[in-house]
Amino acid sequence: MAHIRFDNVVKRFGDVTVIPGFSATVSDGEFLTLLGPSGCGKTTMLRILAGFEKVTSGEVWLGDTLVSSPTVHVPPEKRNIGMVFQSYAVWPHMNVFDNVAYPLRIRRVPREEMRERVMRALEIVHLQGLEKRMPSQLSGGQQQRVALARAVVAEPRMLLLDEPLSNLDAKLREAMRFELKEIQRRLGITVVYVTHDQAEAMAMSDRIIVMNKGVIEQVAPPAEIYDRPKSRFVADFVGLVNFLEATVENSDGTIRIGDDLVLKVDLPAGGSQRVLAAIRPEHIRIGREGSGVGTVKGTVLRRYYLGDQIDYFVQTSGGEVRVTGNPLDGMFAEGEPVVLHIQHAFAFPL
Amino acid sequence: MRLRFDTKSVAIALAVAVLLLFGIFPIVLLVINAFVVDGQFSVNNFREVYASKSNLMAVWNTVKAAGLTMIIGTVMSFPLAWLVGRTDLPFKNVFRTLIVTPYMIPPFVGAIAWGYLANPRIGYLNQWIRALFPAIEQGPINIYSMGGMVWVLVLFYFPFSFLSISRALEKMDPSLEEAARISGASPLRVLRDITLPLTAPAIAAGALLVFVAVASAFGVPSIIGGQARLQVVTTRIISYVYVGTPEAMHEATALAVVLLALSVVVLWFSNWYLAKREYFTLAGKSTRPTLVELGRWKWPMVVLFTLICIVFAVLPVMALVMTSLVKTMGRGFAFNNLSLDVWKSVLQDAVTWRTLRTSLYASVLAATGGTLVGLLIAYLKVKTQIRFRTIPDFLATFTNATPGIVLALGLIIAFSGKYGLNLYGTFWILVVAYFVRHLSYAVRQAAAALEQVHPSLEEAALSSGAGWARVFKDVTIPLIGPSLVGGWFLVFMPSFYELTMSVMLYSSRATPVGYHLYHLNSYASPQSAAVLSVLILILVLIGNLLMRWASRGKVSL
Ligand SMILES: Nc1ncnc2c1ncn2[C@@H]1O[C@H](COP(=O)(O)OP(=O)(O)O)[C@@H](O)[C@H]1O
Ligand SMILES: [Mg+2]
Repeated sequence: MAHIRFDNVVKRFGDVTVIPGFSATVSDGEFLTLLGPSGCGKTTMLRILAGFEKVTSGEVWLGDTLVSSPTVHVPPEKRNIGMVFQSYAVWPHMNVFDNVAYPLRIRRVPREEMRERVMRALEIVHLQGLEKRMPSQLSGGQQQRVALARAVVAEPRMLLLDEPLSNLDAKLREAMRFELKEIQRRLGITVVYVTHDQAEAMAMSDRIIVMNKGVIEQVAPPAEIYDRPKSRFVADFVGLVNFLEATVENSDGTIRIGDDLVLKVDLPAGGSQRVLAAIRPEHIRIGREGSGVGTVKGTVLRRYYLGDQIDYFVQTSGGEVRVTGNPLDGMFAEGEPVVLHIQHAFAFPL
Repeated sequence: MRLRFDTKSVAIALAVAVLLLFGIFPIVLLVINAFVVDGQFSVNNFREVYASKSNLMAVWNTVKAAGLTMIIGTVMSFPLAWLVGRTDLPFKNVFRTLIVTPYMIPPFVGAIAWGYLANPRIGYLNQWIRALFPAIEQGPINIYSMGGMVWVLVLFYFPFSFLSISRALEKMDPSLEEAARISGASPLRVLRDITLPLTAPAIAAGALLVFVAVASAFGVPSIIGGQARLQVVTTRIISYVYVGTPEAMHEATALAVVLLALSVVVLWFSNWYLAKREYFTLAGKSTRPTLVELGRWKWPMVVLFTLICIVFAVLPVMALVMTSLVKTMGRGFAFNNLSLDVWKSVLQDAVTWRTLRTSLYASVLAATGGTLVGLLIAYLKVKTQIRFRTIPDFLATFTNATPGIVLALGLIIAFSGKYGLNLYGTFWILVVAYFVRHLSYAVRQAAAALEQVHPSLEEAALSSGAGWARVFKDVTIPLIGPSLVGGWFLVFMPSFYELTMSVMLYSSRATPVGYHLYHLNSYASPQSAAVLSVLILILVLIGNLLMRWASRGKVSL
């Protein structure tokens, strides 16, 4: 039943329109991520869904209940939603058990059952044995787990997470991605997840909504977002990309960059003679030989060794190109002439 | 960093020495005096003092007034702070400012104003009530009673509690409350389960602050309680000091030491015990609090707040202005009863100007000295690695927490010539008193500002070859200038209208305006007192605006 529907939702704060019009659906058991740069309105959308903000116009439906519209507003406590806040919001005056038990206490769950359910929730987040601890005695990662247990303990119809990993250190953040996903799979719960970190979004989501200034740029599964970005913004925001100006040679999609690079791409609508080609660094192979369509000669300008990969900056006739190299393919010295093989490219209007 | 005999160390050492000599030495001496009789340790002083029935009565009255004010003030503050901080109450910023207006009005001026309003015979409120209900022939409100005194104390001391709670609400991470909402709790349940427990330390700290402030207050109990023949500890101390014999002074010290102990305990409790229990919220971006919707309570609340603001801020000021403008008090504020005569006579009176000048000079000196010494003490605390570097700051907090009446008594004992320095009876003892009592405001401002100055800025200047004094003057001071100016005003303003210490330390050669006003009201001419009160309120307002402007909005009362 956890079918969420946003129907042309508009949000204004005073004179500032933060969300000019947002329509989307989330299906049952889906892991959906709102991805976008800071300030683009992700938190605002999540808070509208939770009931902390009212909509200026438009409607929000949970299942077949209208929960938000200019005239209807179901308050947060009546929406049966679990939420994990960026600051965790673990109550410092209650121990772990009481924190997690709170939603059940409100729902007047009998003592025995409450105990059982709290313990089960703590087990899911691997906090067994810590139920007597006060939050001040917990690490950031553990507090986060408490917040997560509290959010799921009452079996809400959906779970909202607002940048839950952004306060953790890099290693833990990485590990938590997989763990969150596992928990979601086990519980089969619908998740709406907010982040500005594309790797997080990629790793966990069934679908991603890429937002820019309150507007939806693209809604698609991670692979599609990455391989077929619909706009220049999406290509740029998700992953790395080289932007190079190109001339259209033929309406079948042949374009030319600089003197000697010819590529086949899907041309953007509009039939303009000049387009912007976008090539991901990891969609380029670097070698010493080759010619023909999709290859270009160049010279290595700078090289950065990162262990698992090597970043090259290569000068070509079409401009400077960033290439991600695999150390197994050998190393190329600065100043060395090379040939780049472009495996995949897209084009956007200039 | 080693202590060396360079400019920096010498300057800091001097600042600390000044604080020790004028702040700590008198207080220590007072305590010794209370326990040592004829060179021997003894508690006889206390036995005598607390054998006296009127002294015991005074202690009881103090406890009663302070306790009631604390309870009423706190019970009133929490809902007001919550309504202003957490609901969609309209005009809340206006209300927030108006509601703490009493903070800007010196309490004894407020007491004078409430005398005009609720004097059982000629108080304006009573006149209006009798005009509305002719059946009532006298009263009905008598401000000169325990109830009246507590009422005025609540009005002028509850801002301590209100501000303490408001600050805690502002500092609290709003998602703590939102997490409870999303867990299923209604707004009122959130208030009970989350907001109240999390602000409990601030509520307790505010309540204790009110208790101590009221227990050490002199102005309101003297002006209101005096008429009702209600003695409190502070008024007893002053009576003993006015008697002036060695025995009387001993009794005064024995009473003062109890007040001192009370304030030390509270200082310790709120700085160590409660501060540790304050729940610090995670730094980082947090959202604005979701405002609880008042719904149909919205407009009733606006009416309630408007009434409160009228009673708190408008009525007292109005009473003062009206009284200053009538020919005869008791005939009401009628057109044929208006005149500027009292204004003329007050403004033409040389005493007005002499006392204003005395207060001005003493406060300017205290504020300037306080800013200088405060800056050095703050520098010591924030920017050096010397061991015990935080102690002078703590001592300044301590002299600030010491009731004015206790401090003044200590100064009298220490600087009457017995220990080589005779300041009592001169202008300088006022300067010293104001300086010591308000120094910690300057320290706090300077410390907060210095913490913002990155060490590399100074290091860059030092490495370019400038001496410490030079770097301090050229780099540090300009950076923290606005805060220093703010700190200067924070010392200046309360010094300018100070009453409690002035009552004990004034002399015919050096009478501050606070004492002059007190004297006019109690003995000479209540109407002239109204004029002077209005004058002081205007000066306080100007001072506050100047302070805001000069500190670029960083500091305001
Ligand atoms: N209560 C509010 N009042 C005014 N502006 C707000 C409020 N909440 C958010 N905004 C503004 O809305 C925009 C989007 O904010 P937010 O949803 O927090 O972005 P994100 O979570 O994507 O970083 C920001 O420009 C922010 O300043
Ligand atoms: Mg956000």
